[in-house]
Amino acid sequence: MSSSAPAPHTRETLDRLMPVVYDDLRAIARRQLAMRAGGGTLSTTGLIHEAYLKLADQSRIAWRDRAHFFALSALAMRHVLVDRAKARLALKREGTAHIVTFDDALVAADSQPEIMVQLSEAIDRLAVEEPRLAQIVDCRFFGGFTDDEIAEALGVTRRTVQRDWAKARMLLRRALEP
Amino acid sequence: MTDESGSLLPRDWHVLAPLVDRLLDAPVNERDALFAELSGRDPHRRAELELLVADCEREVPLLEGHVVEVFDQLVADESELALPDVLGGRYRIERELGRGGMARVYRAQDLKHSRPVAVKVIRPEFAASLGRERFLREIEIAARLRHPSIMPLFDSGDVDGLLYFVMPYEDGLSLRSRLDRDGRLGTSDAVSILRDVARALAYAHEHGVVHRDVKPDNVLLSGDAAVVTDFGIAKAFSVSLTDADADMLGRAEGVIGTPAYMSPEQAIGDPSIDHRADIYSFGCLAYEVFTGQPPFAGSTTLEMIAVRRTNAPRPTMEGRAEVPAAIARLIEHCLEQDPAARPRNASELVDALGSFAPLDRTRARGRRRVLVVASLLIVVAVGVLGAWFAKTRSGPVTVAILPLLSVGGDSSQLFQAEGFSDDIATALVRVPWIRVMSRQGAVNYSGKREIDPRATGNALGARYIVTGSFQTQTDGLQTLTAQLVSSEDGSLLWADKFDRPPELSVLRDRIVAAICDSLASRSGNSSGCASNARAARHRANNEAYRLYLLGKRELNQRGQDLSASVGHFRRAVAVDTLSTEAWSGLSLALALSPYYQGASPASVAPEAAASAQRALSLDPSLTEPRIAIAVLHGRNLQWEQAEREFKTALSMDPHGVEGRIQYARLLIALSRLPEALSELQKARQDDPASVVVLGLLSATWYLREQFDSALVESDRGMQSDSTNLTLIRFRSLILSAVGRKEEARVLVRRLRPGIPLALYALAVAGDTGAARDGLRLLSAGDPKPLDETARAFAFLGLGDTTAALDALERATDAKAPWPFVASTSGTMFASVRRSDRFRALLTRVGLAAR
Repeated sequence: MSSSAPAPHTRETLDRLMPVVYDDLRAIARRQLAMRAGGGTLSTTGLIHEAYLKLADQSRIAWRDRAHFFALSALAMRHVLVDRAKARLALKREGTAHIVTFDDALVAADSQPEIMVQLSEAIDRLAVEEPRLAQIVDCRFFGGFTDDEIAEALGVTRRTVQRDWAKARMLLRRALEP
Repeated sequence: MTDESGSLLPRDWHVLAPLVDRLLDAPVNERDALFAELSGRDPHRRAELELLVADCEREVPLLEGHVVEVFDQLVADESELALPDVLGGRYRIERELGRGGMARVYRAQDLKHSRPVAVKVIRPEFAASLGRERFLREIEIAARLRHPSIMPLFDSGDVDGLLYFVMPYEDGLSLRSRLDRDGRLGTSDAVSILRDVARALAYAHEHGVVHRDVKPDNVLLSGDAAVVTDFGIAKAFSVSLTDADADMLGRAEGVIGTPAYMSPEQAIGDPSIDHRADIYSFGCLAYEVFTGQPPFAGSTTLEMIAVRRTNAPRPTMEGRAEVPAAIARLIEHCLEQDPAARPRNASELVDALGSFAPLDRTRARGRRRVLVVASLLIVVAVGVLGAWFAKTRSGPVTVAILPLLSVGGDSSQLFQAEGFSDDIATALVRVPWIRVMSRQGAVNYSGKREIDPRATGNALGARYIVTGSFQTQTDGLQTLTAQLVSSEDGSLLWADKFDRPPELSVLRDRIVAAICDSLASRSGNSSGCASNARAARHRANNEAYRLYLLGKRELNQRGQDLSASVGHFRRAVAVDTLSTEAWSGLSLALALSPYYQGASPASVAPEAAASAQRALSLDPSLTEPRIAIAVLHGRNLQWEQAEREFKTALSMDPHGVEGRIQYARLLIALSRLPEALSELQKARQDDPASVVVLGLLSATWYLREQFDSALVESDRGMQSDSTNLTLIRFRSLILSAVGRKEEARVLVRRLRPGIPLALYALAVAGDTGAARDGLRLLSAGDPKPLDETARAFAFLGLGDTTAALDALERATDAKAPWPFVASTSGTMFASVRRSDRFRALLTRVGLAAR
């Protein structure tokens, strides 16, 4: 894997340095969500490859490798969902505070927008101080990548991914639980 | 418990984190000691560490899933699609019927025909990135399917930025809704529905279409019948989402499908999936229909894909009392991980389910009895007739003539021997009740000393086989032996040996007469053999005949160079100007030369035409010269005359494979691909092992973008003869199209750069460097018209459309028959199709806007 430091894993980076790339990533994310909603597959391979190659020429940043790209595509997925969540929140009248309960595997329908926003903000905060942990959350929860795929994407061992995941979820839970 | 500054991280995180790492990695029984060591006997620190580790190991159910399961409401898109009132000026949208992952379905009124229809509109998120032309073409292919169990496609369109297609409006439930409502189905209903689905799949597969997304949602129930919808849609998506660049990663298609019903090869994104993926999905569907759940009703998408990836054993239906045992076995068979282990095709499914066809109980008993009696009758009949059949067989008398072996002679004698065998075939063709099979396919058997009569008979489609050998002793004495063998049981029906054989043409007549008589008595046909001996016709002098045999042999071999063949024929007619067969052979060899050598048509046409006329004046019943004339017309781009001449030749000799092959080439050049397929399939019936037929079949399927079928034919061709040029270069293209680029590259490197499509195939397979090198080589030497054609395609493959058009124009100037290389409606020309220069070229070659 490459030796240079990874690009900062933040929205500002993406927006500033490669708006074109980012739009495409978001488009991919929207498609994937649409397919999944219909019971379709969430395959990453084909669509991401498609985008990667289209973009590899256009972006001004030299992509270190495809794997790095995958990680950022997961980030784009999160942003698409957060934007949707914010849009729905804007439509709602009442502002009931919703509380995250991590021990449930599902989130109640009307709580989803707010909880998504909270979760995303927590991940953003995590990204400032522990970028790799945030990346892992994005890749796993939003990207749907396996541990092996994440290990390849971030240039670390599988064991590191597992440990980091444990730490990341611990930190998020601490951040969000009352 | 976060730091007041707003950080998520606990105090001293940067110190603690590495310690936590070590603790997480340590086995539980060592932890105690490690805690002690790492906390340095500070109880406070130890407590912190213990808490951190405990928290880390605590699972977070919310985050264990995937966002699309957890936040499903956000995933579901509530936005409305902006639809016009009347789509495409024809369909008035009434209401939404449902929405799926990739499209939404609306009920609409077809204003043109005043009937209700269902319109499926692709979500804009997808439509934006699809190759629309490709997508619609794929839909079009699927729309040609016509079968009672396949939902027809009325229309498709690309209007107002929306991609849509139109189907009949069905008032029934989908199988999905029915299963949601009833849980599972009773045996009788289940079998009836599954049988319809299997029939639909069998039909579609036979027509080269794989569904790729077989699931209950795609089966509509209407009354008693089940109809499969969305054929080709999944394929259209996956195919059209490809970028030319994406191919470079070796993934031609994305993984599109529904996890619970996806075959393992689909789940891992294997691009070379074929109809057997549908069979797997059918298995999942059947499983669910009988038990209420598909076999892998996993909780997360990832889990389902992981099951496939880890090669889990196939699901069983043990202990499922509700499923009849035979059906359970069938379903399990469909669900094998390895496609080769599944039922070979959907027709097997139809048959297997057929024995469960629901019958009313009382009627069943009665019917069965009748069946039993009837089959007894048949058995008896066969028994009685069988004896008679053994003596005199009716049915077509199919014969294949294998190339004579040559023992102890030089190559000239070998070629002569092989030409001789072919000439025996030529003579036998004239007997009306004898069908000579596999004249080209038999070429594969040259040099084979031992053959298995039954296998050979099957491969060549012949009940009788003629073999022989031609022995040359050291003192020059020659002995010819010939025999007629039954391929069914290997029994010898006739044999003869000729020491010091007389003139070859006399010998041929004798052998032909003997074979004919032998077959006549076996088959109960009236002889007509004696009159077949060409007594009335001129008997060519021996030397001329010998040369003719050599020329014929070269022609049959279809090597890269026909000049040897032409040479022999020329010498033959020089020796004997009345040798009809030599003139005929010469005309065809010359006519085919431009294709094989790049000689310009202008240089060979006059001689070819003259030879053909000469042959016909000597014997108007010959078809070979007519084929030559037709080919010449074609090369001259005189399309109508060519077609007329082909049709005449074919009507005179419907079993003549050469004529059909050349006609098929013409049809391909005219972009009339379905007709080309039809002709080639007829040719295949007469010559199943002919690599030329198989090569062209694979090429035609490829040009129709039915890569699965193309690969099947290509594989068959490779078994016959892996050196045929047409076969190889299209095989390379097919392999690239199904994502096997490495193999494609290796294969195409066998070809000379001057062969049209060789460099194109190389470029398409991703080896642009080698393609450019090849181009440089081509440009170096003195340019021949075929080289210009090869260059043009090379440029097309490399994306240099200007240079390609330059080369095509030069080729057209030189009258090179470039339209014969590949259909002009194909994707090879996609990049230039809209250009004015290309349109002008089409007009010049007479192919404009057909």
